[in-house]
Amino acid sequence: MDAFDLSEHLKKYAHRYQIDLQSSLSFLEWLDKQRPNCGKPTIRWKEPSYRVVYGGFQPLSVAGSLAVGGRFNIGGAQMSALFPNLAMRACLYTASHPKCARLEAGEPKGAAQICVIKPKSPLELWNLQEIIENELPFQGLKEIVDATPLAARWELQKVPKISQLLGHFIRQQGGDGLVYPSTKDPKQHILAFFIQDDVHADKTFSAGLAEP
Amino acid sequence: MQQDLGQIHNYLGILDTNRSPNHFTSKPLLRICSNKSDLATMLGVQRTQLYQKSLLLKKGTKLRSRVIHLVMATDLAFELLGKNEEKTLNWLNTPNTFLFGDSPLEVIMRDEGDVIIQWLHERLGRKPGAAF
Repeated sequence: MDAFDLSEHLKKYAHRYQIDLQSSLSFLEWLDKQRPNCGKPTIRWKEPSYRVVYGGFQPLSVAGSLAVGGRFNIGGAQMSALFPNLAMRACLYTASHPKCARLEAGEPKGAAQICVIKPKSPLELWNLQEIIENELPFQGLKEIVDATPLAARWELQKVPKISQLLGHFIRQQGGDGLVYPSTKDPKQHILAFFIQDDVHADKTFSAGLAEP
Repeated sequence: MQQDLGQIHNYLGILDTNRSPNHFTSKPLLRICSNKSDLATMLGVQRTQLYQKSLLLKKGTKLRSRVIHLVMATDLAFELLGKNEEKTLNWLNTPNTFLFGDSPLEVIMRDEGDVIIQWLHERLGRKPGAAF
């Protein structure tokens, strides 16, 4: 087993922080200069999707997402004076198939349950892959988004990641959320619904346990 | 006589339960980090202190917070990983995608151990949480 060196680790951590900070600032600058137009959301979504919850967690709750952030939304943990124009926003993350939800969640143990989330009326979603390929010629953007973990402990991330800034930018153009291929199950998709709070989530979706 | 540690099981024997739960022994920690100098750096103590049989965890110190978080995290991971000590030690030292590439040990030692404990509680179904 490799010896642990705290000072080396702290250096590595500070380095990672600096890299995240620089790359996020340059991505924001790029967006500001290019001002890309994403058009309109192209997907009309009325299908059920799936979310893994444990310990009696409310399947439609976005309180955690708002507090800590997620792959496509900036949470309280990433708020910083270095990014004065950004605001905390919540997303409700689901997957297009229960198996995909489990894979993205990293096979949770304990009292994990699969919940089915159904929109009460059709939602207008962005096809993020299409936008990245056709509207956002930022080098390596797809790889950057793919490499950003979906179900990570986002409270450990203190600077907005590029994928979060991308989600924020697209959200400003309107729409109810975005669809993106799952990196764990490429035939399936993950969905990030743009939700304001738990009340908005309750108004937009119904939720229940998925059939075993 | 062994002390009652409440919810702490101390599965890896890090706390010195024969003496007092306010003490810890370095021997079990050397299984997590085999180099005494590195272990001392990690804990913020003098290397020579690690030769003592038992070290005091003073209230309000970083040392105490790090060791207690480590004990709680290893307890929970030990339960989650089928009470397998080797798997627990591996998990503790392995870079983890869910932690942005850091290992759980690294996160605990930079004083963010509460995140790891919360995560493990969720994974064990003891605290509510959502995968995404």
